[in-house]
Amino acid sequence: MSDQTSSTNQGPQDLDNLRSSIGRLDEELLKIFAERRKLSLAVAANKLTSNKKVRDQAQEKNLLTNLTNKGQDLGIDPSVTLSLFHNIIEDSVRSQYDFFLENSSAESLEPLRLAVLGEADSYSHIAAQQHFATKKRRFVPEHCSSFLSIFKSIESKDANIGIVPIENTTAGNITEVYDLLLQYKLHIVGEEKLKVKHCLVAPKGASLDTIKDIYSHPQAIAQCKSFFNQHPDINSHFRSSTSSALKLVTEYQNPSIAAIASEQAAENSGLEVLSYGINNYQENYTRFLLIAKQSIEVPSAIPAKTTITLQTEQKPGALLDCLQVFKSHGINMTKLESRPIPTKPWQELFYIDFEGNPSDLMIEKAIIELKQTASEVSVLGTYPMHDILATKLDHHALSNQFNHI
Amino acid sequence: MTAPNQTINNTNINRLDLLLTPEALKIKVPLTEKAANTVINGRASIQNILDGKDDRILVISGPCSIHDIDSAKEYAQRLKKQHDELSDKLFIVMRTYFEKPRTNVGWKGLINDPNLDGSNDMNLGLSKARELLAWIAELGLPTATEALDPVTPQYIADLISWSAVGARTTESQTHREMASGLSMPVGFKNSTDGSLTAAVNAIISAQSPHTFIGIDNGGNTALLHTNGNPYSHIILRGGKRPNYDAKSVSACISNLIDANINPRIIIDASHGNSSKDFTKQPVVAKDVMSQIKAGNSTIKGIMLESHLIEGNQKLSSNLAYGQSITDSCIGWEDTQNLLQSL
Repeated sequence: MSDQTSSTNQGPQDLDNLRSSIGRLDEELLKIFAERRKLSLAVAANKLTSNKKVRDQAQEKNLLTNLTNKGQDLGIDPSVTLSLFHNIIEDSVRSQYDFFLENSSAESLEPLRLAVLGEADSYSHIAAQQHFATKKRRFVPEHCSSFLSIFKSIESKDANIGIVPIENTTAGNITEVYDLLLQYKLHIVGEEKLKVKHCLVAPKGASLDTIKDIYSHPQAIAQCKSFFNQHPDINSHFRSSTSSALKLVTEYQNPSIAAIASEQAAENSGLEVLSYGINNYQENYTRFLLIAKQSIEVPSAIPAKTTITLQTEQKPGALLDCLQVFKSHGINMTKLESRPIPTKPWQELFYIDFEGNPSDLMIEKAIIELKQTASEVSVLGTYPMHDILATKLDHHALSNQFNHI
Repeated sequence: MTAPNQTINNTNINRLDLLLTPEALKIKVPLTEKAANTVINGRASIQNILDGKDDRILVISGPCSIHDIDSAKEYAQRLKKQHDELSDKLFIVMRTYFEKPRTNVGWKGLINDPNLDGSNDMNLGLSKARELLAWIAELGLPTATEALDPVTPQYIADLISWSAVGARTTESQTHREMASGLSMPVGFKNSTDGSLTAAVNAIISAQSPHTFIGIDNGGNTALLHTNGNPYSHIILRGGKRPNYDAKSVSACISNLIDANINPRIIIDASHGNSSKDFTKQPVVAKDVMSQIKAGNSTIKGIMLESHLIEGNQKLSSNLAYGQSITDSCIGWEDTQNLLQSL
């Protein structure tokens, strides 16, 4: 190996050799990563029998400090080591969470029938793939044409589970889903966050100068508003889904017509991707909920989130009294959303997401207190929290390391 | 200010109905992989026959018009057996005609009036037509149809291997433009009086590019730019006199060569060629076969009007199963005997 990598000869033959050496190393890395995953699951099994929490941040901190030091000896910048291992640790923690979840319920391993909006490569479908990537259980997608048909198909047990977008960091809430959640009384059994990267797709030969009309789903167009502001001569048109927009562009084969779709859909469409990530903000996320007829129990070793709805009495400070309950129990509220109640004009229903698991005595107490304060409280579900926050190294330790450079 | 539009626009339009889009119908009745293979192979075989790369004779056989799905499926199953059994000599395609041009008024076909009662439920008609075409394609039997309405191909053409433009519409610019953009080979029939001029001009026109207004898959109006259809050819259907005989065929060949068209002919054994007597179809078909055997390689195929039960019946509330409600057809037994003898 050292013969090839240390070679200073330049030429196409050498480049090929170098590339194949890198390819071999990459395969080694993959094998080692798979081996590490297995060990990580063995650790999860051990933690499960010894009743320990999945996450041990002190241990992670030691591991990262050790690695950044060793990396530096090998000439690797600590920031590179950190970002590499944050990804590895995230996968490991997620796999361990899923191991705990799968072992806490007597689930069969038969694939789940999952109701999902749009066709293959829709954003919902990609989010589902991401969600199940670390899980043993597989899923078979049932493609639905509307949010309503997703809820109906779970209600009628055609599907075991569904995935629906609930909010986007640029375009806001998907209110229709909130209303359906209340109407269908299904349970939230999981959440997923997807980084959305909208791509501009057009037939061969098209460029930003030739494009006059762009088709996509209204949400995608809303999330790319700055692009349209920068190109006032380009018109936007709504389609029922991004896949329908791609079909139109494929049919027209016209350099003046383009679509906005996910990276995965764009690359599978056979069309040309003119631009990756034309969304207003590069940090653009959509949060999805997994919904089912039956609620789940989340093992206490896993950080959980709970979603409730509450109605307050029509008196001054009623909402404040409810929120006070969260404060007094030190519960972190992650979302508060209000929706009108169609049968009660001018009254509001509040959706609240908070960190915690009702199996925890403190949370249970808080919910009891809320029920005394609010006129109506119902729990929509408790589910594993999606975010796996990266363990941070001490400022001190890091700055010491950087000083060496 | 009053809007005068009400008295100027749509004065002879009674009402409008919303029609489902081609896209919506294709989601409802998708093109499966097996059906797609039937169409791809069907079109390729017909193109090879027209190009002379495949020596088999194209036979287009089926009811004058489809009015009943069950009898059409039974006919398809029987024809599929012949298609397989005779595949070394013949390439058999089922005639599945959903649109009928009428001399004045009358039932205009399954797409236009699937309930056969003048209710004209075209949403249902398009669905029924597409479902049947998909079913026959799944069976592995290619289909042929008449392209009459210039919009309907968007809904069903992906399931069809060959199309005809009828004697009454061969002269129409709209139909020539449509044919220039169709994905399958298209035959133009000679005029009802027997003259070939309109069909020869239609072939020249359909082989050239055109630009015209149509709809896209989503149902929006669109400007269609076509490449021209290289597989446009003539169909001899007879006129005041039959024109299937060797003398008429040779006159047709000269006509095509004079117009710089590669002579490729399909002969319709029915209509003017059978002098509207369905029992004469086997006589015509056998004569055409003898011309082919005698060495005429410009004759590429034969069309038959055939159903389960021979003859035809008037449209009524008490219809006999498997018999045509438009032109008379030969019955199944005669059809099978004829196919076996070709």
